[in-house]
Amino acid sequence: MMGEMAGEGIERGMLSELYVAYAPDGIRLAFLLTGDRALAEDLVQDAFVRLVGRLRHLREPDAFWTYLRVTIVNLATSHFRHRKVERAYLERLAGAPSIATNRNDELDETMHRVLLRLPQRQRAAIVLRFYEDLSDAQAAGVLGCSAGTVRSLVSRGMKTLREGLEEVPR
Amino acid sequence: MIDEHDVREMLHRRADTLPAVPVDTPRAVRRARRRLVLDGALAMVAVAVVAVMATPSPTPPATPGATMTRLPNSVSPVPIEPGTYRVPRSAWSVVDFTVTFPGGWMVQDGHNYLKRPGTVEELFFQAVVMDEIYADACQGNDGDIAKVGPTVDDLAAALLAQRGTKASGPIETTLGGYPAVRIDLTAPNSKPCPSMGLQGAVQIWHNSPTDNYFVLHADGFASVYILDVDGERQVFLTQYRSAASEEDVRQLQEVIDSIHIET
Repeated sequence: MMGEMAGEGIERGMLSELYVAYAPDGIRLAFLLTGDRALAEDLVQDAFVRLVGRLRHLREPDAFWTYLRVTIVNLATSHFRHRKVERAYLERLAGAPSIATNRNDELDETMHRVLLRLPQRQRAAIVLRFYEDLSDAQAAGVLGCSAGTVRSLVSRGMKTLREGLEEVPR
Repeated sequence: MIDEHDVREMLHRRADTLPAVPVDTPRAVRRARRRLVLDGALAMVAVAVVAVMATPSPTPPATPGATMTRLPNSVSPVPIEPGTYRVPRSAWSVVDFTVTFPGGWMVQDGHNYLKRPGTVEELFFQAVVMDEIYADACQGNDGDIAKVGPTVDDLAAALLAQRGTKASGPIETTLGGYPAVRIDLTAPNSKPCPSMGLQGAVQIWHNSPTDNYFVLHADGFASVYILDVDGERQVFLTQYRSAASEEDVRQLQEVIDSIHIET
């Protein structure tokens, strides 16, 4: 069964089509979760590779993105598993040269950096709710928790975000 | 003061700073194709193994009269037919084992076995291999990691010493025909852990190679069975939640008791 898929579907360029169709959105999501474009691309490639083994289980055309999104969020969480690693990484990120070209870009970049300092689950909940436009229940499905927990994560994340922005020198 | 609208707008503008097309499509596709071909080869090997198992043989199956079926591997929980399943060794298990499920059970990712997932009546069981736990279950991955030595006693002692849970044991028992100790865990009834965002749940460990967290629900009752299988440590984990009936708990125990380890 899998051999048939490897021998036929793949030869027809299915993988390339899937990658071209979904990777850009995946990289954007991963970038918002990590703040690093190169890391985002790596995470999406890893997510893509992991999902390929499960292609035979995906019966609905829209399901691939749903699975890819969950995998990206999980991989981002896994990448920052150790708090020490995350702190060190974010410190490096904070020291990176800014690419902002105007005042609005600067504000966005500042807000994004403060967002990246949030605990991973709060950050993911905010990105899933406000970027992916998922409902609380849908975000809960991605994060593996209840809708109430998502509301709590978003609420606490927003509070910390506001407090963090107030501490940023203007 | 920023609000949700500001965050939404910022996220979309930040996302739009990235180019529309990923840089290295061919490399990603090549990696994926290699993985798919490899999986295809493994699947064919597995089919061959199943075929060999299905061939009449003078050697009886591990569980006489049982059906031996491969478990599905899906990101979402999928129902499994009642019967006896053979679980080959993997990153989750240092041994092959068989386990018998009654009706109503599901499998997720090929190695998480659940009944009524996502509800307060959820039953859960998995085999797992791990060599570190969180020092403080309430801090979870925001806290420190406690490395665990290789023996059964090392893990039992680490779980009993872990902060942020109520742990009891070790209880001497057997599982799958091998000696084991059992540590029972519940979450503390004190205030919820601030870093968890899981309504009183605590995080016991993270199994790095397989990217799996063990989250003990606030109303969960977990048992960690730690086995010494000819010098190798194997863990089986169960958890049920507060609304599980006595019948549910009995059934979960029956599933665990059905495990037969093949060496």
